[in-house]
Amino acid sequence: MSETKDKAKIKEAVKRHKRETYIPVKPDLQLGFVHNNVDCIGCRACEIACKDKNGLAAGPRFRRVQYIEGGTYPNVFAYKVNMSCNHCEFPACLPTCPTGAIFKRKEDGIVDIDSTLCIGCRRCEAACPFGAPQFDPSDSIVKKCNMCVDEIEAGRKPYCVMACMMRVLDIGPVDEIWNGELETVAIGPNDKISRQVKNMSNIELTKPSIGFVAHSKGKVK
Amino acid sequence: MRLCIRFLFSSLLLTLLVWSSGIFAEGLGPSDYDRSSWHPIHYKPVIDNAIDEQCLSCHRDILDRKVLDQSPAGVKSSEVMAWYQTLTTYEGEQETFHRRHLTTSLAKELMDMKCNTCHQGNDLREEATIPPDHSNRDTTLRKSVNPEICLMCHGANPYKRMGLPKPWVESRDMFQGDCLLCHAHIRTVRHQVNFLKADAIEEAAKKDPDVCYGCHGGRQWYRISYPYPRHAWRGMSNVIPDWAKDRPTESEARFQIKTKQAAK
Amino acid sequence: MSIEKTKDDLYERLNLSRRSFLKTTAAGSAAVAAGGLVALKTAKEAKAFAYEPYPKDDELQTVVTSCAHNCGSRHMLVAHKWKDVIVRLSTDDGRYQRDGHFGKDSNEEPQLRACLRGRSYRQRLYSAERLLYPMMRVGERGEGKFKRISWDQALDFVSKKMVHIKNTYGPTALVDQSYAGASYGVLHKSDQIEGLLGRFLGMFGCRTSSWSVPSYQGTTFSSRMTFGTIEDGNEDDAFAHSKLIIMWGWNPAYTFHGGNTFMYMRMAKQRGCKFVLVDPQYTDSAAAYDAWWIPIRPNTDAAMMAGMAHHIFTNNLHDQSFIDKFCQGMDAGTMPEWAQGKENFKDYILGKYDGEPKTPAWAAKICGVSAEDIIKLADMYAKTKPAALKASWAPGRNAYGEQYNRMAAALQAMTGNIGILGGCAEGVGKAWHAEAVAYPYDQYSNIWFQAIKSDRWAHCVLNYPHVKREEIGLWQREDETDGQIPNIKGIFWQGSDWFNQLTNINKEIAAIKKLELVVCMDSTITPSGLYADILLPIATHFERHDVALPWYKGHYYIHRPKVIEPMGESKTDLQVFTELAYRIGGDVFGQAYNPKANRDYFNINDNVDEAYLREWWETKVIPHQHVDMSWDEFKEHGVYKFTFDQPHVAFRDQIENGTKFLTPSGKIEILATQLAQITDWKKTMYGYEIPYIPKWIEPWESLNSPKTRKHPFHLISPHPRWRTHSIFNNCSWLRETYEQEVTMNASDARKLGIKTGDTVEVWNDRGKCVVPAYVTERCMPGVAVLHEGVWIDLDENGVDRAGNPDMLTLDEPSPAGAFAYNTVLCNIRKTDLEHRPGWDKLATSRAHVFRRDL
Repeated sequence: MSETKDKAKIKEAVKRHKRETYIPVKPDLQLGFVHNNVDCIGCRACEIACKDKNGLAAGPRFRRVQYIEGGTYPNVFAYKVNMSCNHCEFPACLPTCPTGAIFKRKEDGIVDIDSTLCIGCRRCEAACPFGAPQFDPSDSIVKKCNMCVDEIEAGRKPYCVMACMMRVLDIGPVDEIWNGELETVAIGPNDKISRQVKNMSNIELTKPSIGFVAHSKGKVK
Repeated sequence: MRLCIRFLFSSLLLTLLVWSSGIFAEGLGPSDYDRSSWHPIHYKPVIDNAIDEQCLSCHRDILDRKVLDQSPAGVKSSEVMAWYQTLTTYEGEQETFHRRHLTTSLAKELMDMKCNTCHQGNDLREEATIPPDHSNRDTTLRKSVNPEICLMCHGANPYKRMGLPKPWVESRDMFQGDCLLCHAHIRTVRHQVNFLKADAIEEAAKKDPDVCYGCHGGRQWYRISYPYPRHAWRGMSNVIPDWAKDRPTESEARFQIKTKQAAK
Repeated sequence: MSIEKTKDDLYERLNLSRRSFLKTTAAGSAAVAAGGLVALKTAKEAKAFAYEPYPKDDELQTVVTSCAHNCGSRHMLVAHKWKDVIVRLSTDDGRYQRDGHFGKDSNEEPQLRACLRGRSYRQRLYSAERLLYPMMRVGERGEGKFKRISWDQALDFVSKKMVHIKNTYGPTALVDQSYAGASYGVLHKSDQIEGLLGRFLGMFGCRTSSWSVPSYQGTTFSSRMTFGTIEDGNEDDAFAHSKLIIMWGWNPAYTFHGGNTFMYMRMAKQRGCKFVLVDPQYTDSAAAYDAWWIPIRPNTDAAMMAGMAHHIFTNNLHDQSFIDKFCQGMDAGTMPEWAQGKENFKDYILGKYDGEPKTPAWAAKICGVSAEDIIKLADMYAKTKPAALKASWAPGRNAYGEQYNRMAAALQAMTGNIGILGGCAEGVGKAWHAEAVAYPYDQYSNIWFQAIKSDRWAHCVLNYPHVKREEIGLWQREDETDGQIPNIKGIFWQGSDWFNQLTNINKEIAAIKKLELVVCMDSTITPSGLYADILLPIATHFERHDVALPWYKGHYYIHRPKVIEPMGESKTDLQVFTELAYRIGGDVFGQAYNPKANRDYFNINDNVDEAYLREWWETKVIPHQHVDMSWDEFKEHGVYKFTFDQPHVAFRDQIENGTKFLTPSGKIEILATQLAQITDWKKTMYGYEIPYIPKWIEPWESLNSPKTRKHPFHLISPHPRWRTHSIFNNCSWLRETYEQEVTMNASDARKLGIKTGDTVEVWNDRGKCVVPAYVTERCMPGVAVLHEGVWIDLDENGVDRAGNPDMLTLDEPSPAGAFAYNTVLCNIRKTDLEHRPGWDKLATSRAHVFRRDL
């Protein structure tokens, strides 16, 4: 059959590269999210705005405001950790994709997925340490946050950021987020930025492009 | 012989299943959904003793699911191949993540993974709202599996500790792309966990170095390496290097092989 | 732009020709370029932006509009539509206002960003529960069996029935229930006083009004008595100036009503403001503002406040000069001449009259807060200037809830925190005064022939004529009909789901069987609708012309054009009432009801609506509010934001300039003149005595009552974040993120063997409902929290499978009219009874046994 022949041909052609590890894209600029875990009221307007923007039914949630609480009555605490796709420096999802649907943009480091190329093997879903790729059972394909690239290209910010009633979610060049240079009301005057918060998977796995204002109980040493 | 025993064992499990799965009855409605979702089997400690058949009685689709014949834009599954799939060890059609780990021939040959090898309790609140564990220790802000488990196989090679001059990608020609060039002698006690078939892996690796690469390099997901426990191997130096001083010498208890058979 | 949709098939929807129009984008970097990862026979480059709905915002038509459900606020929604379909919604991003630009978000003119409920509007608009055609009941009431009929049949039926009922039973036979509807604007308005329905039934000559407001009657009563107005609120930006904010039963992280209040509070926090939360729950507001949480037993707030007042008085922490200048009846020195022999507040607190000083220790026994904490809070409040004690509505939705609000006003006054920036006199919280009515508000508006406490209609129907006027809170009338018990035979619901929302649903079910006409006008088929005889499909606010305004806080108008044509056979409420008026009373009634229209209005309403709105803008808004924007310019921008020289603070004028308060004495009436002079309480709408100074009164059910032996938990039912009352209950986007569940303390749960996720039943003698449990340390022991508004779903035994707390609430209002929603004892246990989540939860299941498509 011609198909098997082609397959063999491809195999042959790629053979000389076969032990090459893929070279991660080094973006000209890496955009990332910043979220204030403390001042966030957890209203999930960002989540719903995202669902509406991306036309998703119940099930897949590109953005997830996660509620953390602890302590013992009456000494309790609560805070929120809000993540969508972290557009990692070394995205684990990307090399797992058999169809090349996932790619990292050179100009801004956004990790995008073209779900029209997805065959639903769900490897990326398993590989992501942060739960970003979301399987959409209605289409049997995986979709995820692309930081609203259409809005970025139009000179605006993603829907989630523009939905935030408390103004505690923002985007910016991730270096500026981390070193505190980004001008944003998401970060308060006395706030410090953490790259890793409690219960978040080890950031060394993929180097996620995200910064948090961590809660005192959510800080890691 | 071994096959036969396994067959016997799994039919035993199936029999057990009929006994033990009272909640998973026919004609389930929305009301049962909540009750089933919060069934103790989804949480520790019960999940530690859950057998695959119990899990699959509700989640059978995880193994039944096939990839789409073609993507929405018309990319045919049979015509795509990711780079790692060009390895000689990769056979057969495009498969889903779960089937590659559990049911494909290579998976069966080299591994013996169970649902709860990876799934240690999927806290519903993790994807919805609040973890019920108020000590707030054991949850990761992720959907179901702690990626540290994936890291055990799919991490990077710590080339400096391995004594390589450059990352494996750049050093590999020096070693003819063959891990066993060194690892026939160094760290030879490996894969001693209950979800891998250590002997089969060693056998297969001798025939084809792609076998190592298939898990550790080719499908490398993460940029760091797993801090493996130091099982003593023959010829291991008595001097423990600084970086290894905190390392345990045995795997995490739940991965340890109960009978010493396999080590032999 | 070629985005013609041909087939629903997924492959068609996302095929290459569809994608080709994106070639112009700079999405560029393709997977194949990224290191040769994939070998493909037919090279297809991965492209950005691969989801439905496909078009980008800039390829769609943009229409500025707003939310419309009555949460108290109104935020901007921007519809991005393609032809007649709203493809997605965004919100204010600073571009639309005059001199706006993307990202403009100043403290003076902040963006009016919609909350999660507003963002989910597309699901409500296009929901499966959308009512598209007139329907007539064919089964029993509540059975949910209807057949489709024509508008002509429907209106013919309703008009004939109305006339028959009026002629047979008299002018009180129809009761209207239209507060807090899905329908809030200046023109198409569902409101008990200013609304379209009240005016229609009043002109028709058959109306029993429902006078008490479910949300906050205790609070409005208190503000009217104490300050002479319900406009006791500061504007949202004033909160940024407080040094201490005490959130008493207030959870702005859930309610959001009030412009950008929550955002300005964050600003206050950054400026060093301290926060305190007095509430049985550690709410998300407490977490976000890092508040000191004081858990309090529900319905004991007035006692704790009395304890605080005692500490303040006895330690001389009160502001005597403020009291002397502005207050009546705070102490012996501020008693008016006429009130000799009456009690004053300070001496009540000190125990002079009943021998019981209301010390912190006394209060501690009642409210469960330690005396030390009461003292600490009283100290903080009296010594921090300026300090905002925001006494929110929920603790007022209680037996004698008005006493809590009155007591709070006394604390606000004795510490001199009224009328100053950073202080607070709320209460109700209604701030800036908007021009709220664009349709005729004339001599025919709000005519009624009897008015009752809103949650007593069922009691009245079931017991007629053996009902005493005080039992139903009959409003006094000046004519010979005073005191006549209304013979209710029909109900009109306009954009409201009251049957689901009032207290003691089982009693309502019994009562509704006795009615001869039940009309439900709504855009969604609600649980109330299932008990109606006739369902009339009403156009949503996306389908008619109007202007939105916040009635609570926030100072702006948002234009609300007709974004899409009405779906199905929907008509606006104004169209329906106008046509009914013509059918009942010919041209005389028709034209009096809607003077700008003729009978064609039922089919063509655009020009008439435009004329009302233009007139309202040009004759009310521009001259009264000094607006310098023409109607046409307003329509073009879609929003008008007022800016003030300084933040609006209630009663600033009274305190700074000596203007009189709107009370009979012109002072802050701790001793209420009006109440002190009532001799025959039965002849008032209150029915029962209300003390003229704030007092602690033991509620009929609480954790301190012996009834706890049978029902040990105190159930409170606050407003949820993911619904506005019952609106949006059917939106899966919201429901997948929030469970309708009963929240309880971990130690209580342990005793009952309940874990998070267990299905439990919550019950008392009035009713029972089934919900999952949520076990947490964030809830006070002994308290159970079940959010109001979930759509009832009764089994054959009358058990609610959805978890509506109003199965358990009591239809016994507080004397001042406050609904006692939060005065409920109950019991909880694990159950095998069926629970139904009320939305298609199974669609998100990961288990094949539950999924229909696997």
